[in-house]
Amino acid sequence: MELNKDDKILVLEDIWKRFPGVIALKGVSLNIEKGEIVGLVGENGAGKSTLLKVIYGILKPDNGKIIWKGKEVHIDNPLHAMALGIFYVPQEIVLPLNITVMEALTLGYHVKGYFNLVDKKYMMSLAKEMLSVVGLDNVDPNEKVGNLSTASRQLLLVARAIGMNAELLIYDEPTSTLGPKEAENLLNNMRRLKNRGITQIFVSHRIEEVISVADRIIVLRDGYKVAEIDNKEKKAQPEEVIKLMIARDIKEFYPKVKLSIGNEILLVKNLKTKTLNDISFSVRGGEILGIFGLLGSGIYEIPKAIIGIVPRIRGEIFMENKRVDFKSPSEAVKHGLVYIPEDRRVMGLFPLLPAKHNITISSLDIFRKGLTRLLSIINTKSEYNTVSKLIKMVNLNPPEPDRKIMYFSGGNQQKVLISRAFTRPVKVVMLSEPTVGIDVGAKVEVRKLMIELARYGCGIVLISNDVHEIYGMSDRVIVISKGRIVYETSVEDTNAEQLLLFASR
Amino acid sequence: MEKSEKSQQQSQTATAPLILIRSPELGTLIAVLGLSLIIGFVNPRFWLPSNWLTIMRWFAGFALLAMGESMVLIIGGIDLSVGSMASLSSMIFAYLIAEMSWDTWQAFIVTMVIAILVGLYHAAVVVRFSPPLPTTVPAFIVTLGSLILLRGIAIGMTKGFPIKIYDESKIAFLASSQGIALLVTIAGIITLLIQLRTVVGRYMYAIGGSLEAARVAGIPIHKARAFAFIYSSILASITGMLYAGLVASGYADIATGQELYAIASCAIAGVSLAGGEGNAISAILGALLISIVRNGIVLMGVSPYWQDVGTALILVIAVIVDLTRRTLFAKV
Repeated sequence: MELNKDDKILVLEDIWKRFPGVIALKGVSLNIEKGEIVGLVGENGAGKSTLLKVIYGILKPDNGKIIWKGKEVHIDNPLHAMALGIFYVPQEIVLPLNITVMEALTLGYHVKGYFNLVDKKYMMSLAKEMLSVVGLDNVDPNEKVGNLSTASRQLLLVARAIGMNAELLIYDEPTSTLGPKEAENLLNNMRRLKNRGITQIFVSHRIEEVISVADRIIVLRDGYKVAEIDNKEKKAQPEEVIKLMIARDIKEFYPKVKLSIGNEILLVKNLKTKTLNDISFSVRGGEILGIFGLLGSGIYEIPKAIIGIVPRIRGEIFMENKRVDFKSPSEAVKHGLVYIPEDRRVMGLFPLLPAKHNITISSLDIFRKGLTRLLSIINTKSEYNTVSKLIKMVNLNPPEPDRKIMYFSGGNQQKVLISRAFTRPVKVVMLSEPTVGIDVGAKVEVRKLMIELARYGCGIVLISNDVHEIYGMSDRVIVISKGRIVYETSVEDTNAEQLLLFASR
Repeated sequence: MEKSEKSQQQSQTATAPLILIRSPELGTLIAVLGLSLIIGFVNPRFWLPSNWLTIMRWFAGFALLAMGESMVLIIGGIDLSVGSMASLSSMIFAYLIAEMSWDTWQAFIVTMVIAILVGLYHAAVVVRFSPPLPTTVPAFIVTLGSLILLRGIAIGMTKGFPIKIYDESKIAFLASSQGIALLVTIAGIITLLIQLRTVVGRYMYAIGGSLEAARVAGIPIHKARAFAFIYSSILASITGMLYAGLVASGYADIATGQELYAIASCAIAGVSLAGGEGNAISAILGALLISIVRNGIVLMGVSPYWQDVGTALILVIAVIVDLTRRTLFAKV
C-alpha cells in the first residue's frame, strides 16, 4: 500500500545492524505516523535496544535508510537526534541529583537576562510550565532532583524533552523500575502527550501496559520484524502478542508445582530496622513464601536486614531452631542462606569475570584443595564439572563458561546468578525481583529454577512487586505496606486483586 | 545471506590488527622487543651481558614492587607507600645487620614482620571506611600518609645518613645475580599462583570488579583486602632488602619515588587501575619495559636526567592505548 509520505514522521527502510558474531537487525522497516504511540515488543536479544539506538544516533546502521519528516537523514549522535526533535527516556535516569528541578529543566537553555545573567524569574515560569505539561504541578521547582522519586525524575526528563520541542519520544522500558500506580501515571501522561500531537515509541516487557496505551504494536524476533498489530480499534490479546514474541506456546507462564512441605527452616521474629517494623515470618522446606509490596513498602530491605547488609535495630533470626545473628553476608552463606539481590548489575554480578567464576564465587570453600582457607588452591577440575552441569541445567545461552558475564543477556545473567545457589548445600534462598527486566521466555525458566530449588528441600523467599508473579508462584503470601506486615494468607484463600488492595493501603 | 557473509569477512579483517590493542601483555612484549632492536641498533653495547646485568638489577626491584602493587590494584585499591616501605626496610635491615650484628635471616624475618604490620595498618584503615566508600578512597589517603611517614622514619633513624654494611659476606647472596634471579622468580611464581589459582585470588578479582556484589555473594571482603595490602608491603620490604644488598648499605632515599614506577609498570601492561583485571605477568612485562627505556635513554646518549621523561611518555602512551582498548571493546 502506497501511503503519502507526508504524514509519516519517521520511516525506516531495510535497516541492518551487525555486531561481531551476531546480526542484531535484519532488514527492519518501520513507518511511524505523526502523533501515534507505537509499542515495540520482543524478547531480550530480539533487537529492540539496537533499533532504538539506531534511531537515537548511538549506533549507525550498516545498511538502510532513515527518513525523518520526508527527508533522508544520517543521525550521527544523540545531540544530532535531539536537534532533529528525537528524545530518549532511558530505563535508568541519568540526571545530576544535586541541582534543583528548575536547573535540571532549563539545563542547556540559553536563558539570559541583562548582562548575560541567568534570569531566575523567567527560568521559574518556564520550569513551571514544563512541569504542568507532565502533570507534576505539585513539584516545587526549587526542590533538589535527588529528593524526587524515580517516577518523578522520569517525568522530569519527559518535561525537559517537551520543553526542547521534542517531536518523537522514545521510552526504553520506563516502567520496569516503577510501582503500578506510578506506571499508570506515566501511561496517562503518554496519552496526554499524544493529544498534543507528540509521537511516541514505547518499549516494555510489561505486555499489558503496551496493549493499554499503544495504537500499534510492532513485534521483533531475532532481528526481524515479525508482526504489526493494529491496537487502535480492537485491543490485542496479551497471549497473542506473547505468542508472536516467542514463537512458542507458553501455557505455563507460572510453572507452579505443589510440593510436599517440610520442617520450618527460617524463622524471623520482630525484625525492626529504620524502615521496617515488627516483621515476623517463617519459611519451611519446599515452600515458596511470597513477600509482596509496592515500591517504597520496604520489601527489599527484609532480606538485606536478615543477612546483615542493613543494620537491625531489633529482631531474632532462627535457622533450624538455632538462633543466628548474621553480621555479614559471608556468615549467612556459611549457614546456607543465599540472597539473590534485585539489582543484579550492581549487587549481584561481577561483569568482568567469566560466567564460571560468577557461578562458583560463593562456594569456593567446596572446591579447594588443602586446609588453609584463603591460600588453598582451587580444584578447577571439580569446579569445571559443577559449572558444566549447572550450565546445562539452567540452559545458559550461549553455553560458554569462559565468556565474561557482561556479554550475556539479562535473562542469562540472572540464570548465572541463580545457579550460584545450586553450587553448595543451601537451606534458604531469598530472591529479590528475580524476573525483573528479563524477557518472557527467561522469566519462565527462572521461575522453573525456583521450583527446582524448592524440590531440593530449600525454603524459598520470593520478594516481588509483581502481584501476578507472587500470586502465581507462592504457597503463602505476606503483604508489606509502609514497613509493616498488613496481611498474611495462604495463596488458596486470596486473589491478586485482594493482595493489591492490601498492599496499597 | 550474502550480506551477512560479506560483513563477517569484513569484521574479521578489521579485527586482525586490533589484537595488539586487545591484549596489553602482547602489546608490551612487542614494545619491549621493538625498543631493544632500536636501542641495540643505535648503540650495540646494549646487547653486552654487563649491560643486561644492569638492566636486570633495575628490573628486579621494579618487578618486585610492581607485583605487590598489582595485588592492591586488583582489589580496586592503590598502595602509594611501596617506595618508602622499601627504603625503610633497607634501613632496618642494614641497621639490624650492621649495628646489632644479627644474622641475615633474623634481620630478614624481623624486617618482613614490620612490613606485615604496616600492611595490616593499611588494611585496617581501608576496611574501617570501605564500604560505604569504594576501596580506593581510604587506600589512597592512608598509603599517601605512609609514603611520607615511612620515609620520615627511615630518615629519622640516622638523621639521613646511610648505614654501611661492612661485613659483605652477610649480604653476598642478596647481591649476587643468582640470588636476585631466584628471589624474583620465586616471587613471580607465588604471585601468579595466588592470583590465578587460589581462593583468595579469585576473591580479589571479584572484589575489584564489584565490592558490593562481592559482599552480597558472601566473600570475606575484609580478609581478602587485608591480604592484598600485606602482600604488597612484604614484596616492598623484600625489594628494600635486595637494594640494601646491592649497595651494601641501608639508605633512606634508596627507593624514593619508585611507587610510581610500580604503578606505571602495572598500568602499562594491563593491570587495570579501576580494579579486577591484570596479573603478575603484566606487572613483570611493564617493569621490563620501564627498565629498558631507562637504560636505553642513557645508551642513546641522552642525559640520565631525562629518564623520568622517557618513563612518563611510555606510561601516557600505554594508558591511552589501554583506554582505546576499553572504549573499543567494552561496549558492544
